Amino acid sequence: MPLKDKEQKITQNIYSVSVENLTKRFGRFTAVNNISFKVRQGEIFGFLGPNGAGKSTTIRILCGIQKPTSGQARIGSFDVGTQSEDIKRIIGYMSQKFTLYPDLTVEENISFYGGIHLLSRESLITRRKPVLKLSGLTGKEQTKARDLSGGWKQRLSLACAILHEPQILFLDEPTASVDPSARRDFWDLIYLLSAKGTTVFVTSHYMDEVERAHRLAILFEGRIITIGSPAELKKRHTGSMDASLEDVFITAVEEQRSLPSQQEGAP
Amino acid sequence: MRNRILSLIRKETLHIFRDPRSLYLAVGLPVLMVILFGLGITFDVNNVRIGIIDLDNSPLSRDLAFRLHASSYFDISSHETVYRGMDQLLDEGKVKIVMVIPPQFSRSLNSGRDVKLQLLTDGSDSNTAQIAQGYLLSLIQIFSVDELSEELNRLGLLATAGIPPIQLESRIWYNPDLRSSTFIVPGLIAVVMMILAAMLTSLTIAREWENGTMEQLIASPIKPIEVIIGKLIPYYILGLLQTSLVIGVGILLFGIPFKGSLLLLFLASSLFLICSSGIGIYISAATRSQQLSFMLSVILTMLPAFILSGFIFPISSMPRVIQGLTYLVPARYFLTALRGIFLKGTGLSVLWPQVLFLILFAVGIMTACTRKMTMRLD
Repeated sequence: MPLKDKEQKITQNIYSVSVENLTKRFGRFTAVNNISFKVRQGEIFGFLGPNGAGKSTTIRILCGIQKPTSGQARIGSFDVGTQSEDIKRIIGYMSQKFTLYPDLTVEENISFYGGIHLLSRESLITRRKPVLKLSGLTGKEQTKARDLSGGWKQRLSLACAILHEPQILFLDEPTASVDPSARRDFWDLIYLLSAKGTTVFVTSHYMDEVERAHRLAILFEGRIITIGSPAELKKRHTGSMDASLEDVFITAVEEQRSLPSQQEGAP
Repeated sequence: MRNRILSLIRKETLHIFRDPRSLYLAVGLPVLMVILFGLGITFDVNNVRIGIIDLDNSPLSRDLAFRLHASSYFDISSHETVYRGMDQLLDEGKVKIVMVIPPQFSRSLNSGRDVKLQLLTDGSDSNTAQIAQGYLLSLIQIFSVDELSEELNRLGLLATAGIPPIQLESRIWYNPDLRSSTFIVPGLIAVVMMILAAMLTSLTIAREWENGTMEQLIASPIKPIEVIIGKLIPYYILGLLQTSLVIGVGILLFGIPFKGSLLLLFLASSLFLICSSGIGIYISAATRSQQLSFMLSVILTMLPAFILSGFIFPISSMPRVIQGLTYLVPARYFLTALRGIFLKGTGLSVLWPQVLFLILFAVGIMTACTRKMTMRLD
């Protein structure tokens, strides 16, 4: 599929996520340091960074499950600080860890999250099938979640996160414990959702897979050190379209280190 | 809101049925506890070992000894006619009481002089000692009166003196046989259900935290109150089943009478189960660790239920401060209600304060649970 087709789904001037000067501190440790960015509706937005860069913290703040220390963030028209209940209604969240019930079957897990999102019995039945099909879980409905392998667990988590047709989907390292082929399948799923107009916010520390995002931000030690489409970033940091995102990451980090610190220690 | 709670109830019920250990625990433990405690905790004092030193060794003194022997309260483990070896028997705990019948016992009695019997009681178990001493005193009293009236009769004085003896006609209500199990078992139901209900719910929220499923719940639009109610209801139903089971054991095995209203029993049990399950849920939400929560819930319910509920120790004889503490123990109200309903058949007109306090506690603990259920990760 040519890139152009995909980009047509992105609504240019409507933002699903807008973040301004967002900071989160845990005691003395600053997990997220004054970040700002916007995500357009229908976009696949990648958050790339090593472990501990602040990716999960950012995603949790955006989902309304952690409070920011300072700064602003809006999901659609809702403020994360004061309207987290409204936010939880329009988002889907998939945690880094497996957070479904291991002793319940695939179907029971899905029904439970359907119920939590107030789906009626009818809409649960009509939506369950396509979601199962989309995530490739058809035929595994009666399998207990604990008996699924890593890749299938991820698919089930995704199924539960998209069942209520969220406007914005937050995926925190969705492919962390999955083999490469399952990872590719997973990204195909993300494309399908984006093509239907869902905004997808996805974090990863795999450089190669984030290349498939429409735009991405590189997060390092709690700061966004660069942001743009994969092509823009390659051009900006390495001057070559053949470079890998890994090269981009390394140069961007080096550039950041050579800069005098802007946020702190200013006279 | 209704839909979310129903989903949660369904999920929790599945958890219960999918974990056979929790089911065994839920069914086996209450029965086991009631049987063990019901048989083990008794205040009935029977077969107290007594030593008799009969320095008189007359027909009269032997008659007295025989009276003790004939009652089921005492076992004469040692009967001597010389003052010897009794210290050692008391020291070793082989006898609890030693009665010394002085020489000239029979002669003094017959000649109308004062007679003194000596009792040496092992007071280390003060409760048993007091009860046994009481039994012994009344036996001796009866013996003494019998002897006196026999003497008066012989002298023909009883008829001529014209003193009508006072006759005591005592009736014991509610527990005519004075069996301590009749008193213990209804209270035991309250104690056992207090511990069990809190123990079972103590795992629920902590398990969600430990498995990471809480994060998913928090990211969903469910409200704290919905989580609490959705978790409470399946355990409340389980608790009702356990209560019925335990009551069944009490009635069938221990022969506890049931005189009151089933409806009032249901009302009191329901309120009480909300209280004790709520304690478990609160601890679970506060600790976020299954192991810690389990231990805390057992300790925090078992001790107050046994000590501060009036189960064994009457609240009225506790120091004021401790008496104040007992108001915070829901088992106290349930226990009073159970004893009333089972043994006396009392109704709401008498038990309304208990019901009122249970309602207050239930509302209080549910509010506390909802506050403690933070729907945030930090």
